[in-house]
Amino acid sequence: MESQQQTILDAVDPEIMDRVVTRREAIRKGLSVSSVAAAGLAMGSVPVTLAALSREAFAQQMPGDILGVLQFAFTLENLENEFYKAVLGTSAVPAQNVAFEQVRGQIPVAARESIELIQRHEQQHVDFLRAAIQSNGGSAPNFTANDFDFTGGNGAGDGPFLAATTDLDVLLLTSQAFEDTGVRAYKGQIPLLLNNSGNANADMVLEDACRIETVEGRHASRIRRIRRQRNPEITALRYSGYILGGGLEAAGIGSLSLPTEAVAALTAIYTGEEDTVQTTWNGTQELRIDTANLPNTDVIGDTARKRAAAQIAFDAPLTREQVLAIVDPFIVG
Amino acid sequence: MIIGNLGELMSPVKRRDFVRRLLVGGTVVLSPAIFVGCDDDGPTGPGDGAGLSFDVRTDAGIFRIVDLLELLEGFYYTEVVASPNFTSFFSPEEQELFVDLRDAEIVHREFVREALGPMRVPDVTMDSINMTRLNELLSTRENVIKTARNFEHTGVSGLNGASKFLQDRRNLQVTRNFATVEGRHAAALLDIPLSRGGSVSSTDFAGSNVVDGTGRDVKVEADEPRGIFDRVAAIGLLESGTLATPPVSNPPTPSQGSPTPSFPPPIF
Repeated sequence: MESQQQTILDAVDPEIMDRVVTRREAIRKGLSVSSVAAAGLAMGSVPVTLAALSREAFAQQMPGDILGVLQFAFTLENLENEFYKAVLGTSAVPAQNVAFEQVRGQIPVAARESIELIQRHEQQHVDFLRAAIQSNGGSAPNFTANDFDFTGGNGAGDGPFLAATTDLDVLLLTSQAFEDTGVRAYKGQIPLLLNNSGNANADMVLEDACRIETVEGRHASRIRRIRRQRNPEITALRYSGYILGGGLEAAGIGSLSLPTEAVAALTAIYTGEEDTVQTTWNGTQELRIDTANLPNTDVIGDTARKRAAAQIAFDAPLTREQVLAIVDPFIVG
Repeated sequence: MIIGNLGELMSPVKRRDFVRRLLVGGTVVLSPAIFVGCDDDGPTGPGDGAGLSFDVRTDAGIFRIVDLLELLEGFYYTEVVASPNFTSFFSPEEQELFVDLRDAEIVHREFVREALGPMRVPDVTMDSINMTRLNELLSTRENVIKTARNFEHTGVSGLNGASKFLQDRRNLQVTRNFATVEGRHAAALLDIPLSRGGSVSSTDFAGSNVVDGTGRDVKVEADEPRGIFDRVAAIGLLESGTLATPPVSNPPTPSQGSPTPSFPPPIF
């Protein structure tokens, strides 16, 4: 446990050069590091090394590790924040601003105002999580847009979501996908923060994560409503802001023509959202309740309507591994 | 007309009859009280008349608070959608929103009641509903939207504040699974104008009154002043005396956690 935690801290320490030396030593000793990370180390490319090592460290983390959860969330929030800054033209990396120039001109005023607010929240989440990490004895790296590839191309800049830089509907779809991924990622981590030991700090972290999670839900709701208003025929996008169904259906791509890899990514982002079975513990036994088949629900309508209602009534978690697989293409390296 | 319980009221025939009678000023005869005071966490049925109370030392106690809120929400939204004014108050897009809202809250209600089994809160019957207030809250578009916003605001706040007290990982998971759906509702309801055809700010869905300066959403404790129960009371659907004074019989234990500062500051 102790060594696990040490690994995490190493991976995201801002004093990166010292750590890279340590990493290099580790690689020489034949410890497991991916070829991507090894290549980055060999080339002396700090951003690549940082991103790749961070990914590996996250993947190794043990459940229940508060710092690990915070650092995982911190990376996701940086991805979102840097994405929106690039979209709005406020990124510190000029090339990212240029990349989104074409689509930026297509964003209506109301949508832009909403995106500006969402970006401010993501920045606040970054700042809040950095402080939380530091107060829990960890350190947080300063990510920049250079650490991310918003086209989903691992740094190539021409990945399956390249159309987000030129087509407003793809941009909004990408935004929705990021927000819903955020909701589902927090949902997968929050139960790992549970403690019954009266640890006030752990409780505070749990509550903060909950409060950030519902903000991501608000964002996703607003983006879904914007998309539905632009595309009234895509009824998978609900005016209520809910996710209806699972897999590709839940993304609501409508008539957008997307590369195979983008379709696969969206399918992964929403996989499991269609589940209607919820698990609970009543103090005596575990109950697995199919919420598509509950009593006193006839006012909802027929069986199909009840199933749809059960799908919209619950968001679903993604594991850290699932989230890492989803965001990996958006990380350089 | 006699109504035994909320389940009966949910049946379309009875419900139409009920609404029609309300509209024409007919008399609704209430069945013998079912939703009277109930012993703390005890089985449903007539109790000592002291009002409903909630033991927050257990997950079940916290789920019973959720149950109470979902009962009221499911009841109210069913009334909203069934109201003859529904299609004139709301655009087709907004009608979709409210039908989804009704459906999701009914699923939440029945899920949590299934989970609680005999520990569930007694059915809401017409005994416990303030009819004058119900009619008022249904009477205008603005009242409906404000009431829905109040319910969802209370729901998000309450779930965000109570999650830290849950003791079983599965119960925490399922609570978060529907907490973000409440957040989606809350945002959508803030994204429609109070007057039909009016305008709404494109930042209201997550404005500074519901998201603080650190990017965190609303939260409230169950039993603090202007907490969950005071907010439920302020909505006014429940007849006074339905809940015990105070409604929380036992606060969370130290091992469950400690209360934290709430956001936003009191709104009522």
